[in-house]
Amino acid sequence: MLSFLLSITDESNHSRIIYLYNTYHDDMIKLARYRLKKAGLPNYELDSEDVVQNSFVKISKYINSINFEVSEKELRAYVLSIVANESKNAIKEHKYFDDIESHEEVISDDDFFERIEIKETYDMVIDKIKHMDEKYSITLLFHYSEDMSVKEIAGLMGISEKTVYTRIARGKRLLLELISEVI
Amino acid sequence: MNNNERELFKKALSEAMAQKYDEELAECEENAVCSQKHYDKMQKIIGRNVYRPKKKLSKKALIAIIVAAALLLTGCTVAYIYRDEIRDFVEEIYDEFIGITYDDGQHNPSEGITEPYELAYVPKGYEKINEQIRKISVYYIYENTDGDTISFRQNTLDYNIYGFDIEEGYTTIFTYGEIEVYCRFFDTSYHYLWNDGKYALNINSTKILSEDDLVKIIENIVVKN
Repeated sequence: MLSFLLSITDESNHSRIIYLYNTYHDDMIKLARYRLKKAGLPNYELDSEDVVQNSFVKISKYINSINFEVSEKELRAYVLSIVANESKNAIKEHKYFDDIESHEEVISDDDFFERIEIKETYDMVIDKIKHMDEKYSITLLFHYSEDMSVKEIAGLMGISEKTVYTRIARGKRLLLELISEVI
Repeated sequence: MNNNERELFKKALSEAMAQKYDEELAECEENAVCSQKHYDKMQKIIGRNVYRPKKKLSKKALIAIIVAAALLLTGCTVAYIYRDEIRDFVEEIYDEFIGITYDDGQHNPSEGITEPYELAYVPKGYEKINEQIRKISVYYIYENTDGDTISFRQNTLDYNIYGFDIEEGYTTIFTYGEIEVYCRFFDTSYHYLWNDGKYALNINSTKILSEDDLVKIIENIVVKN
């Protein structure tokens, strides 16, 4: 970690990290505390600090992947998704269970966008994404909204690249199933 | 591939996740106060002083509250029970600039400047070359023999927004006691914003101020005779 920190010499990236800290730190802490307390972690206040520290280490590591020219909503979604993912990892450690990803048939992006018909289903898509398991929705967010590579997403979420591919495929399939249930 | 569809899906993803977190935060009863150890670690991660001490009531404000409470008990009307609480800055990002304001929309309209300030301390070598004292702003400018300048401006807390170029420069926060100084630095100009609960205060300089000079300026702002 020390050698990584020493590599942050670009002043514009530095000011971006400080901007993110000033703008989002308090909400990051609150979100982590809310989730860890809900999960029943006994030391959730201190654990939430670890979550936010880990989040900023990851934000700093992938700072060049963040597009700061997007809307505030998109930036906020990205930052809080990192906290959500780190909170999940903290809860997982506490509960000692593991995720096993199954093999998924891959739907191409062309096929996915044709079938989702998002111009007609926009509000419904938002609602379904909100209620999806976050391991899929957060992976989709990093992949599509942030245009991050599979390798970057794997590093950010602390999972294997194979798991990233699986979650993207499974996420698309799940979303299509959820939309088709309603239509 | 239909790019419009892809862009719309990207937007839906961000919208959905932002809404989800906002709903959770709305339910959340936790505060964001952290341990000193956390801020020490964050300072190492980010590389800047990020510690924000809890805002304590100043002695003056405490006395104001006690007096107001006593007046209320006797049935007297009280206005502006507590006026001197230092406000947090609000930072808003626009297309071409960053806007900083202390106008949080929660206070009664400003009365204008009833107590013009002046600087009792300026860095060595600087002399005052101009001043303007008006109802809604007070302005002084100082210059040294090298042509470097320091200007000081006092504004009302409301109806003011400070704009900085969004593409250039960088921001840092300097914390001094209860005061957070919002610092925005460019190659040839350095800007410092803070408030004392009554007025918005601003220094612009052509050379970066040392921490020592900045603290002395803040500590030696006095009401003009």
